[in-house]
Amino acid sequence: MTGLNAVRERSLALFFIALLAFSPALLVVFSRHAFIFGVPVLYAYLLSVWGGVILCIALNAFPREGVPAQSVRSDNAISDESLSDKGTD
Amino acid sequence: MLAPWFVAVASFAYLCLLFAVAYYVDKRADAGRSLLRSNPYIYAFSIAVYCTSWTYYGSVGRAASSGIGFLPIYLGPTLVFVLWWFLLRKIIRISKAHRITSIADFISSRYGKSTRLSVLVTVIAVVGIVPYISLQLKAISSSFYVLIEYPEIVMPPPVSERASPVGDLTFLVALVLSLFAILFGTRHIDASEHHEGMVAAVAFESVIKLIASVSVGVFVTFGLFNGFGDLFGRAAMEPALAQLFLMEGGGAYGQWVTLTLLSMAAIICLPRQFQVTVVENVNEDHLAKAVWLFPLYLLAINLFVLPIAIGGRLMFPDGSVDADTFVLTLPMSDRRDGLALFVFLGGLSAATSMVIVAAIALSTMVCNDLVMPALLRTGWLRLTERDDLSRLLLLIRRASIVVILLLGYVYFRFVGGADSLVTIGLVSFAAAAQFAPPIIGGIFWKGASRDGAFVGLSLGFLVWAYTLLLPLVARPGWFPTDFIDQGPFGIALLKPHALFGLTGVDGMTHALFWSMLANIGGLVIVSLWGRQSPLERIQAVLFVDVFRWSGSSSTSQFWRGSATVPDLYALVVRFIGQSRARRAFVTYAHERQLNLSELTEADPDLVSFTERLLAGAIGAASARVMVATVAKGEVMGSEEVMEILEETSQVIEYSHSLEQKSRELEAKSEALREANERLKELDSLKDEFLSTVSHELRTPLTSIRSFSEVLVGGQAVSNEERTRFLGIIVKESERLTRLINQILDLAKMEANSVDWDMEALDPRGAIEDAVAAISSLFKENRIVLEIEIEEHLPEVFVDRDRLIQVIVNLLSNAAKFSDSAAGRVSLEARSREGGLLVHVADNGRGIDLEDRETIFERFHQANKKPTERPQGTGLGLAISRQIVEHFGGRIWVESPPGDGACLAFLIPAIARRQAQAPAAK
Repeated sequence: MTGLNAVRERSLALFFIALLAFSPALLVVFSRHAFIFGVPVLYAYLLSVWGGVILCIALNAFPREGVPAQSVRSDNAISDESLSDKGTD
Repeated sequence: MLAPWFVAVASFAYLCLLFAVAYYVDKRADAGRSLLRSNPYIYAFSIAVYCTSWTYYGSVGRAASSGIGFLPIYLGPTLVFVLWWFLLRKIIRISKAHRITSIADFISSRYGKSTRLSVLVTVIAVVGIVPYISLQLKAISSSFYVLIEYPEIVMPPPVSERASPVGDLTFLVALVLSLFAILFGTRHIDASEHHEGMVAAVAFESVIKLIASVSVGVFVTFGLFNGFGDLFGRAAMEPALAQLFLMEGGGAYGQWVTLTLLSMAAIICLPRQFQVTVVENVNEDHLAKAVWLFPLYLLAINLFVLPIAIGGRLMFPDGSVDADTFVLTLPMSDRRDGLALFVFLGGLSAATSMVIVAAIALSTMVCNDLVMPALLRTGWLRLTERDDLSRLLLLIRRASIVVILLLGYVYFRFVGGADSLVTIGLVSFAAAAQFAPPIIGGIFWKGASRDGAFVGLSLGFLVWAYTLLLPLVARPGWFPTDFIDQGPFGIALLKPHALFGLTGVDGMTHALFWSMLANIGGLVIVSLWGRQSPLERIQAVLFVDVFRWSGSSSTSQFWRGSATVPDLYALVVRFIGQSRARRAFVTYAHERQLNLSELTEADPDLVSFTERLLAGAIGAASARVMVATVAKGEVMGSEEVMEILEETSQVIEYSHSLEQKSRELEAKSEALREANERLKELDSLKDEFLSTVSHELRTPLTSIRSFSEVLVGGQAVSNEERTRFLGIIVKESERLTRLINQILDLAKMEANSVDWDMEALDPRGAIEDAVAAISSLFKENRIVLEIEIEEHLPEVFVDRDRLIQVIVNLLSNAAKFSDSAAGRVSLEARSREGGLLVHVADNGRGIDLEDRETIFERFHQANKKPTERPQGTGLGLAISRQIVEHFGGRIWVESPPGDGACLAFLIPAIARRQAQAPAAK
C-alpha cells in the first residue's frame, strides 16, 4: 500500500496497537519481581514498547514518494511575510 | 561557593542568555531570514515545553512513591502523536485557514465566532492553569532554597513560616518571570501572532533541561551506583522499594487509564501546548518531524526517572528529604556543586519556559477574548471610534501577564504550597481536558452546536471546580471544610470526593469521570436537540471539511455585507498600525490585480480578508464585532448558506447521474450498432441468396431455351437429335422444378411454416423406402450400394417423408460424388449414443477440411471449379440439415479428406427426445 491512505491506515493501526500495549491488562503480565539486564521487567517492557512505537511513527511520517507536500496555501490566506516588519518600522 | 547571590546572578544571567537567543531569532526573522521556517527541530523541541518542573522534579517525586505511575503522563502524548495525521494536522490546517490565535479563539471560531464561548474558555483556562503556574513558582523557589544551603541538605521552609510576600523569594520569582514574559511575548502586536524568538528560546531551554536531566540520571546510575543492575538489585533487597517495580493494586490500574486519558487531552488542550504546537507552527511540514521527535524527547527525559527515584530512596532512607527534590539533592549529597548548579538551571529552564509560554498564551486569550470584547461592547468608552488601539492591546496583554503570574503566586501562597508538584499539575490537566470535547467534537462533528459546547463546557468546569479545586482551596482552613467529609448541608450524595456515591476510585479518576460525563453529555444532548445559527453552520462545515475548503475562498462567499475600502483600511490601521496595514492591503490588491485607490465599495472577499487580518490581532470574536461596525449587511440566511454548501455535493451527485446515463446510452448504442451489423449481414446474405438463386435458375433455363430455339428454328435436325434435345429439355425442366421446389421448401423451413407430420416410428421402414426410391439412380450409374442396417434400431420421433428425403438427399449426393469408374456407396444405420446414427459414405475424392462446415450452406458446391457444370442444386444438404435439426439431431462430415466422403447424422431415440421436448419448447 502506498500514498496517503497508507499513512492514515497505518497510523490508526499503530494507535490501537499502542493502546493495547500500554493497557493495564497487558501490564499485569509484566508486573513481577524479575529483571532483564538488571532492569525490572515492567520498566523494561514499557520503555522498549514506547521506543518501538516512536520508531513506527517515524517510519510512517517520513516523507516518501507518492505523498505530496502537505501544505496547501489557500488563495485567501494572508501571508505572514506580507505582515512581517522587514525593517520598515 | 553556591552563595545565594551567586545562584541568583547565575539564574539572571541564564534568563538574559535566553532573551539574547530570542532577540537574535526575532531580528533574523524580521530581516526575512527566519530560523524557524527552515528548521523543523526548533519546532519539535519547542513542543517539549510540555516537560515542566513537574517532569523535571515532580516525576521523580511521584516515581519514588508509586513506581511507574509517573509514565502515563508521557505515554498519552505519544498516543496522540500517533494520530497526528487525523488530529494535529487538521487542527493546524484549520488554525492557519482561520488565523486562530489561541485555544479560546479556536473554540469560539468553530462555534459561530461566539464571544460567550470565548469568554468561558478563557475563564476556564485562567482558573485551570493558575495552579500549574504556581507549581512552577514553587519548584523554582524550593530548588533555590535547597541549593543555597549547599553543602547541607535542608528542606525549604513551609509557606506559612515565610516572610510577607515582599520578602518571599517566590514572589520575586513571579515578578521576574512576568517581566521576561512581557519582553518575550508583547514587545509589539504581531498580526500573525507568531513569537519566533520565544519559540527558539523555549526550544533552547528544552535542550538544556534534557541534558541536565540525563546528566543527573547518568550521575546517579553510574556515579553513585554501579549501573542499573546494582541500583535495582539493591532496591530489590528492600521490600518497600521492590514494590515500585510492580503495578500497585486495583486502584492503580484505574489511575493509569485516567492519567493516560488526561495527558492525551492535555497535549492538545493545554493553552501553552496549543500555542507552540498549533499557533506557532510556521510550516505544516515540520509536523512530520515533530511527531516522532517529541515522543523521543519524552522517552529520553524519562529514561532515568525511576533510577533517580530509587537512588534517592536508597540514599535518604529516613524520608527527611522531599522526593520532589531528589534530582537536586542527590548531586548535592555527593558534593557536586557544579552539577547541582547545572541541575538547578535545568529546572529553571523547565519552569520558565512553561511560565512564559503559558503567560503569553493566556494573556492573548484574556486580551482578545475577555477584555477587548467587553471594552468594545461598552458603549460609553467609544472604543470603536478610537484611532490607535494597538497600544491599548499591548497594555492589556502586559497587565494580564502580571495578573496571571500574581494569581499563580497567590495560589501557591494560600492553597497549593503543601501539595506535591504532580498533584497540583494534575488539577490543571483536568481543567484543560474540559476543552477536549468541544475541540474534538468540533472538528469531526458538524452537528456540534454553540449551545451544546457552552453547556458542556460550563457543566464540566463546574464539576471540575467542585470535585477538584474546591476541596483543595478549602483545605487550608480559611474556608469551611465540613462539606468535603459530610457533603454540603450534610447531603452525603454530594460529597465532592464521592459524588453520587461513586467511591472506590482515586480522586482524579472520580473527577474526570463526572466532569467528562457532564461535559460530553451536555455537548451531545444540547447539540442534538438544539438549532444552529447560519454562521455556526458555516463555521462547522469549514472546520470539519477543512481539507476540502482550504483551497477555496472560504467564508467570503457566505458574506453579503458591503463596506467601503477606506473604512476597512482605517479599521485595520487602528489595530495593527499604519505600515503593516498598508502592506497587507497592497499585497492583497497586488495578488488580485486590483487598484485599491480606485476601489471604493469593498467586495465580500475584502471584508472577509479584513476580518481575518484583525482576527490575528484581536481574535475571531472581537474581529467580527469590529468589522460589523463598518460593514453593513449580514451573513446570508440559513437556507442560502446551506444552498451554497450543498451546491458542491449536488453538483457531484448530478455529474454522477449524468455519468451513469451516458454509460447507459453507450451500452444502448452499442446494442444498436450490433443489431445494425446483423441487419447488414442479413441484407447481404439476402442479396447473395437472390443472385445465387437467379444464377442457379438461369442455368437450366438457358439450356432449355437454347434447345427449344434449335427445335423452333426449323433447322435440319434429325429425329434422333430432336428426341435427345427434347429429353434434355425435359430433364432440365425437371431440374428447374426440383430446384424451385427445394428453394420453396427451404424457405418454408426457415420461416417455420412447414407442416411437420411428426410420429414415432421404427426408422428401418423409412430407410428401406428411401433406398428403394433411389436404387434406380444407382443402377443407372452402375454404382454399388452397400446397405447395413442393425437388427434393432431405436424408435425415433420424426416426419417419415422428411426422413426419407434426408436419406435420399445424402445417397444421391454420394452417388454424384463417388468414383466415376467404380462407384461405391455404403449406407449404415446403427443404434448409437442413445439414438439413430446413419452413415453415408462414398469413394469419391472426399471433402476438404475447409468445406466441412460450409458444405451445409445453401448453394454450396464442394470441389466446385468454374469450368465444371454443377452436379446438384446445392440445396440438398442445406435442407437435410434443417430437417435433422428439426428432429433434434445433428449432421456432420466425418471422413478424412482424400479418402472418400462420409456424411453422418444422428437423431435422438424417442425416450431421450421426449425428455428433451419440454425443454425445447
